[in-house]
Amino acid sequence: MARAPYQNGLTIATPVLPGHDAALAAVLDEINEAVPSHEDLPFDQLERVHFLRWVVLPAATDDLGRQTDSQLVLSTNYDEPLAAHLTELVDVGGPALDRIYQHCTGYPAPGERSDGDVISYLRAHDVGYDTLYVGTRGRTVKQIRREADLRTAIQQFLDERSREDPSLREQSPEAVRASIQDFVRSDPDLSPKALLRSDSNFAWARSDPPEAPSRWPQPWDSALFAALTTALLLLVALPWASGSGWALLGVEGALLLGGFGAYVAWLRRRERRDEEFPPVTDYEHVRRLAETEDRIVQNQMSSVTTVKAGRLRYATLCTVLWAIDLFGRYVYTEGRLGSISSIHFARWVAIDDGRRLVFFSNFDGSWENYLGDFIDKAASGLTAVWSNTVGFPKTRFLVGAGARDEKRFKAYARNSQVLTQVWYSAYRDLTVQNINNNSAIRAGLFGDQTPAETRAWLRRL
Amino acid sequence: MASLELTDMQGFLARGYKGLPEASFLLFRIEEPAAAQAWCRSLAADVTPADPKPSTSALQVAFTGDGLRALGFGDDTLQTFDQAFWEGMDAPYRQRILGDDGESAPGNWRWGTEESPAHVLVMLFAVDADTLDARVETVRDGLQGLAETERLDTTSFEPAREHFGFRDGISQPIVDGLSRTGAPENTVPPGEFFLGYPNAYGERPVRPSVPLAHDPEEILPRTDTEHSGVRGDLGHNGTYVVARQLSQDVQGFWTFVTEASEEVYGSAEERHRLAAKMVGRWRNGAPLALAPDDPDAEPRDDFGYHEEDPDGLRCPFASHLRRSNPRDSLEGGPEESTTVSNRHRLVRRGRPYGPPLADDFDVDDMLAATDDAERGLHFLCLCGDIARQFEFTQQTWIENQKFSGLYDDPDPLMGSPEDESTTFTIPDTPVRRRVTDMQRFVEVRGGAYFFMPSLTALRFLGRADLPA
Repeated sequence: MARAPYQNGLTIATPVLPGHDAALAAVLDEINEAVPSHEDLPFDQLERVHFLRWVVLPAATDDLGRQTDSQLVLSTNYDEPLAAHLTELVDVGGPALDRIYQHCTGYPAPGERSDGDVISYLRAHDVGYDTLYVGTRGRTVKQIRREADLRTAIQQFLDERSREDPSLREQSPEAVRASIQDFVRSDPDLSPKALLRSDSNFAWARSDPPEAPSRWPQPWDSALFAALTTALLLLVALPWASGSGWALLGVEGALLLGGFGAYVAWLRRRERRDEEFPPVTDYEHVRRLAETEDRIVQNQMSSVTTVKAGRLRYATLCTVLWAIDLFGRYVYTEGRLGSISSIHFARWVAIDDGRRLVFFSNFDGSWENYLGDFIDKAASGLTAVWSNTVGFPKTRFLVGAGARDEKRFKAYARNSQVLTQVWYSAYRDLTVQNINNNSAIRAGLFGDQTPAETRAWLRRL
Repeated sequence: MASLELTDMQGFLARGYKGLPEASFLLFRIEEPAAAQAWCRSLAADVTPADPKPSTSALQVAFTGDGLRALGFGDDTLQTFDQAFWEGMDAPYRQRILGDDGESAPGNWRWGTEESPAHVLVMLFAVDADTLDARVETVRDGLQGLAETERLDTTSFEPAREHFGFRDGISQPIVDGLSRTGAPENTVPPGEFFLGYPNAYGERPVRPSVPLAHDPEEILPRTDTEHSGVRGDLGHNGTYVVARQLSQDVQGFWTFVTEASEEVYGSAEERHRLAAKMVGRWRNGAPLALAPDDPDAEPRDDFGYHEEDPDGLRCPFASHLRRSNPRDSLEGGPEESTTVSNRHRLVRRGRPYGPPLADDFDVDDMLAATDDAERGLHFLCLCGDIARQFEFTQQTWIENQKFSGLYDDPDPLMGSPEDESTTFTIPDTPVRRRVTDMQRFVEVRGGAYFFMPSLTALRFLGRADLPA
């Protein structure tokens, strides 16, 4: 079987030309006003993009007083492969890309640029990501939209059937499932309701298995994982190769333990010296952010923070981000990060050679709920990441306290949040729970089930 | 157990005055700040504390952000309150948080808007109507520097119920430190409702405070927060009071329920069942989670959903009861869910207003009635953090059509369904029943966020040194 697509994240950071900030903001605002169907970028024609945003990171000074100019960041969550995503983006939104990137350094001049040049330009500014979490694992945009249509059609069928034939309620679960199967198998083009739908033929729903990826990325795909494994192997292999066996192993163990102890001592010394910031926000800033929120089912957050000075700090941050990425990739694969089931996509990206940390997320429901989930359900992980940045509430041993200081953490989150100039969602009325439930409905539509499975399947409707 | 300074708190923080069934709420606009301060001084002696408990009547007072501004306080005081408080319930983006659109948009409110501001709220409670009227007259006689903008009267029903006919006020959190005690899963720390005490996160958040220059007589206790230096502690022993006038369309509700029960249960006779599914309790208050088929069961509150009703077959996920307090049924397991739910609790102190549509609350009589009097609920609740408690509950649970994994289900009782695609899903066997095209039965007629100060803070308000 061919390797099926899975979702990935693209982050492109480009410096803004000096003096162009206002002009760039104007273009972005105009495009954002017309999401999802701007004439220069008809977002809803993108078949491989789940979420897309443009954010301008204002010029900043880092923890050591070094300057960074303002940058434009494009962040997408797309269906693999990357080449197809970029091609589609340029095909559908070429005029918009030109209007936006003419305000960034190095963009090819008009007349001299082909689609290929634009793609090369974007690729040259790809800054990757350190951590990516996906709540709707393995579901393409197309699959998400189709499965939503399927569920809507089944629900309407059940409404109609219940009205026309009250005896439905007397039937066994198996019989009810069979009539749903008959409905999906029947030629929906003949039904007037179905004609109103764009994708009215459910033949695809009968083809099993669903379009799930055949192969997930594996831990050993990661270079850091390979390096660590090699290091560990060397540590064990060296003593034996040198012939001194247990003795050298003991020395290594003592060194490692000593190193760890020194690290913890260093960390605690730093933590005690950290400044405690007041739980105060700029109210105008919060109001500007809040005015853009709660328009559709999802909300988004873009945040940028300054990484605390020092190599060991940066190494700590990278290690934590790497570990969380692994957890997101191999442990939390069922649409829940711990018990948080509202995150579509989230990522951390260290930019400016590790001097700043960017966080982008797309989540269901309110900001207040999102932050509450952070504090109630994910405080340790978030503390381990953001305690390496300036302004975070005081921590203990990297994962303690920190985000649990509710008022300070919420103030930190709002203070580090920046306005997202353009934001697009491919399915504005679906939550992660909806999407994953729709997939379960489709997956259980045909095929053998035990009576208990059929009852559970019907409860999804 | 935390030790609460009950003699310094207003009585409304500790009790809803069930023994004082008559109540009237007066709203005032501040016209002359200096005179209004003199009025505060004279009123302070009449305000009822939480201890001792009054026997025949009670008076409480609260202020909006606009009210404090009208008295002469500036941003350096106002901005130490919750942002929601000083921006006001009618701030434009709050409409999306609270669901106040269409007829319920702040532009249509009778009070709580720029045109019709509520600066000061005086709440009067009494054992009978004569006592109440006498107290209202006393307040009116003593007015200085204020103009009365609204008198909001209330109606009392025995037993306590709301206009659709359902028993109300059964479920309340127990505040640690007050005399009432109960199950630990229903007990929350005092800071959730009383400013200055540890909250559900074990913190004592920064409280509303004033620059020392306003308090030359040193009436207020002193705060010492690192970043702002020593200030006068205005918030200690106070609370926020959320007030909303909710008009109820009783005939609309029962007409809808009667028709929908024919549609989904095949019989109008089942309308009490459908209404109970929407509310989460039978009319007498018996919870569906414990008594799915017995309308006459005991009205209890000691239940959860995780064990009794994990699939919502008794009490639908979309019901008003599950959404207003999900208890142990949120994701993450019963223990985590209870902890999370308890970080968003409200103490409800509302009272109905307007005449009952039918004295006996019989549905046929209500449907046959021909009066178009206004009736509803003066919703009142206490909280220590407006955004985390009241607004969260309203936005993330009540107004959220996606609550608990749902798709298009608004709160069937209190929600504001946006269009005809909205539904009410009733888990059932072999498959769900579903009401389509939900309607709105409750409209907002006015509302504001108030700060109810301690007796000490009230004394300070009367003597504060404010710019004229």
